[in-house]
Amino acid sequence: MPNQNLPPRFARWLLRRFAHADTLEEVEGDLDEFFQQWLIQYGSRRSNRKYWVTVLTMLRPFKIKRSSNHRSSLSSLTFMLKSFFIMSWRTIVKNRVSSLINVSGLTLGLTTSIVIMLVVMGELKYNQFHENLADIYVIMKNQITNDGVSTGKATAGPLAEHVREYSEIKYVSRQAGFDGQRVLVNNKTTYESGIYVDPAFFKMMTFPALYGDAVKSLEANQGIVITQNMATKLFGNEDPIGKTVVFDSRRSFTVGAVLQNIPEASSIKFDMALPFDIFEKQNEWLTKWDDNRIRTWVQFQPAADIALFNSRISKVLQKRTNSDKETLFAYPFKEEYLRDNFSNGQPNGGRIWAVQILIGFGMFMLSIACINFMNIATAQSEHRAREVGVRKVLGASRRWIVFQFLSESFIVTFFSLVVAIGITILVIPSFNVLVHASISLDLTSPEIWLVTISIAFVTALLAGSYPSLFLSRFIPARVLKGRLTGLKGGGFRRALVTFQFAISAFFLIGTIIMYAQFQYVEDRPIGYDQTNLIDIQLDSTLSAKYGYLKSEVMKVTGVKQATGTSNHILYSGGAVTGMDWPGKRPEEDLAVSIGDIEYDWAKTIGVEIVDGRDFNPAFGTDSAGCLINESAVSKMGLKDPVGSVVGGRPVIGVFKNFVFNNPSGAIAPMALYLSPGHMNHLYLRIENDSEWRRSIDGIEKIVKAVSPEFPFRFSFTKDEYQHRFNEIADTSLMVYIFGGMTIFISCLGLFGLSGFVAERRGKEMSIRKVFGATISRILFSLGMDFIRPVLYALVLIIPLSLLTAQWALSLVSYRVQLSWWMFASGAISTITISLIIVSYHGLRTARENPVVRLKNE
Amino acid sequence: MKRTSLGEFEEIVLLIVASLNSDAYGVTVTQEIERQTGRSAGFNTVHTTLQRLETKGLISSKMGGATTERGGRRKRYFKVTALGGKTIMELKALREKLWQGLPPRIIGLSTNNG
Repeated sequence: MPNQNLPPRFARWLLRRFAHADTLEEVEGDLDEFFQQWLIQYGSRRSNRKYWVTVLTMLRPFKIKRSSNHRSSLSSLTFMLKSFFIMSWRTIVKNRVSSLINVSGLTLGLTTSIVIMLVVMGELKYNQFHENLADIYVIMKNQITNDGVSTGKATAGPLAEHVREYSEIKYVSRQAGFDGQRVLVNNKTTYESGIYVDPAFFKMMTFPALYGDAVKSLEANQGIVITQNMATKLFGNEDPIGKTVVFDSRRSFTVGAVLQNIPEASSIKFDMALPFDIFEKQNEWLTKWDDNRIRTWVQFQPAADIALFNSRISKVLQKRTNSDKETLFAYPFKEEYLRDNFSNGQPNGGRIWAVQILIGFGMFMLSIACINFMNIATAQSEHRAREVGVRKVLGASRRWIVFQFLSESFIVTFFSLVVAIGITILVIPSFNVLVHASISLDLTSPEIWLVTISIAFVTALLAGSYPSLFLSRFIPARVLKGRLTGLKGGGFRRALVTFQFAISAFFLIGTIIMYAQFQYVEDRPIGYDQTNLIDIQLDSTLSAKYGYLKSEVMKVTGVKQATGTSNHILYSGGAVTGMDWPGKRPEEDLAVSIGDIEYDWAKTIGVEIVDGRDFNPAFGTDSAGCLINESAVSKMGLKDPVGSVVGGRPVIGVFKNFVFNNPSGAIAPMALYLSPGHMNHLYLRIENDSEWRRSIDGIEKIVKAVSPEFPFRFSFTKDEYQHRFNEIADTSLMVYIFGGMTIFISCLGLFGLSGFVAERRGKEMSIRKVFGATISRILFSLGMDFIRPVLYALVLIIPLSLLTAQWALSLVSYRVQLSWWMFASGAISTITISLIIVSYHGLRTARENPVVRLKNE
Repeated sequence: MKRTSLGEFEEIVLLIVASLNSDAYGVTVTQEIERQTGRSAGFNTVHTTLQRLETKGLISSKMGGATTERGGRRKRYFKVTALGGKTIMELKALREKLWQGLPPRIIGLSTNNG
């Protein structure tokens, strides 16, 4: 307990530490006396407060014991360091404009770097929470087709049973997903998604349970595992353990375990897990070796030989499916998220590209900000030369001068860092909304601090290195005589400006091309009519009564056409291989997208039939036939498609290619079957008028009458298609923002540098003016100094950006034609921007009255 | 006439130091200001003003002897210097001259109203 009669100890400590030392004794005494009086007058609480307030007003932290230096025995080293600090501070304060440019450039660079660092760390953190991560692998399959090797995670049902027999394997689990299944709890129906897994899944993966035991509840085949979110959604505040959940109106489960919510950084996401055995009993195809639809996870014994295992399982499929086109291999789970792209059967980047590009972005941006610092510091060299000379004469070695200039860059950088952290905290919420990210700056994380401070440290070192080496080279006798010959640095400075503008122009051209490509894909002819096309999702009840549903819906006013499909028109799920067609060579194979449709399909969707006809109820045999798209015709090389047998079914019609799945990808071969029993979507073509809302209400009534509990969901296909572009737009927006920042920082630097040069050549320009030079002539002379490096930069970067653009566009199949105007507009805007910036200072100098400057001698 | 300029608060502090004679140190000066003028003065303001007056040479200070009060910390006593005394006198003379210059009617008015 603190002594009631003494003033607050911390306040007194502050006073001793930060008040004037000369008067400390009497001040402390006076305050003591006051305090004693206040105690009598006001009581201890108020006295304490008064004491605090008075102490705080007495502190002079920035004049720390100034006059007492002679008393303390500062070593010469700390004295020197202090003097560096003071000198650097004075220089910074004296050159306000250039300091502002430096600080704002570095702040922007550091802010972007911190944001990028957070995005990158978020990506690298993915799946890292699994304790057995190093030993967990997913079995993948390479399949050779006519379009090259396709690699995927879909494996056959019996594979898990087979690999369990290998001695290297510790655990095996199968995984399949379900979507929109009916879940009944306490007479309340919801529709949920989740996964079916084997009990071993929860032995491999680290999804800690809050209550219960996930492994045990799945082993009994009666238990269901849910996450905390799902528990709250289904049961509210009740204790969920042991409660009954009716799944798909058929089976009841008891809740056996509640898991902690799945971390954001998990590539496996679910809120509900069911025993895989249940799924196995319902799906007879799981016994087949040639039906690949589920995921197979394995965990190896520690120190297992993965290469040996891979060589053993690679041929497993070939023996069982009579096809030598498929090979299996185990792929590490720790690589699965970042390196998820395969080319020719080999891992080939993926998300890691985005990470690398972002890191590159951040580094370039910081280096541009560093260059600003270098340029301005060396441009100031004339002003600083004398200072260096005097220091050297007084005995400073070169090392100490280097040190001094470095301390300047450190002060500026760390000041910028503080501002940058503040800005980052401010912009993170809007950044998250803008690009739909979920980053956060956790200031308590030592990892984040370590990386942030290292970034700042390297930046400061880089920014300060050249100026300090350059300025410390001065020979005192010469600079003190006022002769600055042999101090060039201008050439290097120009090279740096060239580099800066090369990067800026590169980003600018890149952004223009990205934008053009984006527009091009958005304007891509889709192949069918999206306006007034409505998609209504069906559950199993609606699907079973599809015929009735369609005839009722057709009666609603405003509905012109209706049809059903098994797949969403924008996405096509599985592709099958091993299909036969006339003239197929034994080594050929093709992945064909398969879907079920119903009558009136072409008419409703608006797809043109180019050969043959659509399915027609007038022909009874149509259910044995198929429709294929033009891409299938050309890939299979069919000469006379209608009537030829593809995959065991005669082709009835050929429809025009339409865009599905990836809007910028190639259109894959597709085959459609007539099968009205398997409809998951009802597509409607409605009248193009303002009455659509009434039509929808009519349809909703019909749907509700058939399946009252199913939530009625409808969407305009056009909106959904646009929505996919919004996702792409997020990524491009991030690039636009970062690109814009780069250019802005470069411009800041050019602004500062041109100001210096305009000032230095001011006298020259005045003399020229006296001799009759016009303003435009002077402007030209000043401007050329800067426009030249910008021109070099463009000459350098245009071929490079051409090559990069060609490479990047070669990755997408529906790509915009590169055209000269993209490069020209990038180049012209770079030149225009730099001209505007340079002419600001140029004009000021050129319009100055020559007398003013020439008088000052 | 060359003279260091003096602010209003500085003037009050200077007068108080003079009036306290030999007992002027931080605490007494602060309390005396409050007592005499009725306005509360922060110790920090008083302290700074005393220092400023000392640099201007209007007052001088010396440390008192060690006592057992206030944890043995000494007091700094302030005393008006010759220059300070002269300044006070000049100020007074100036005021009086200015007052005498006022027309009697205004004095009458102000006293009536006050």
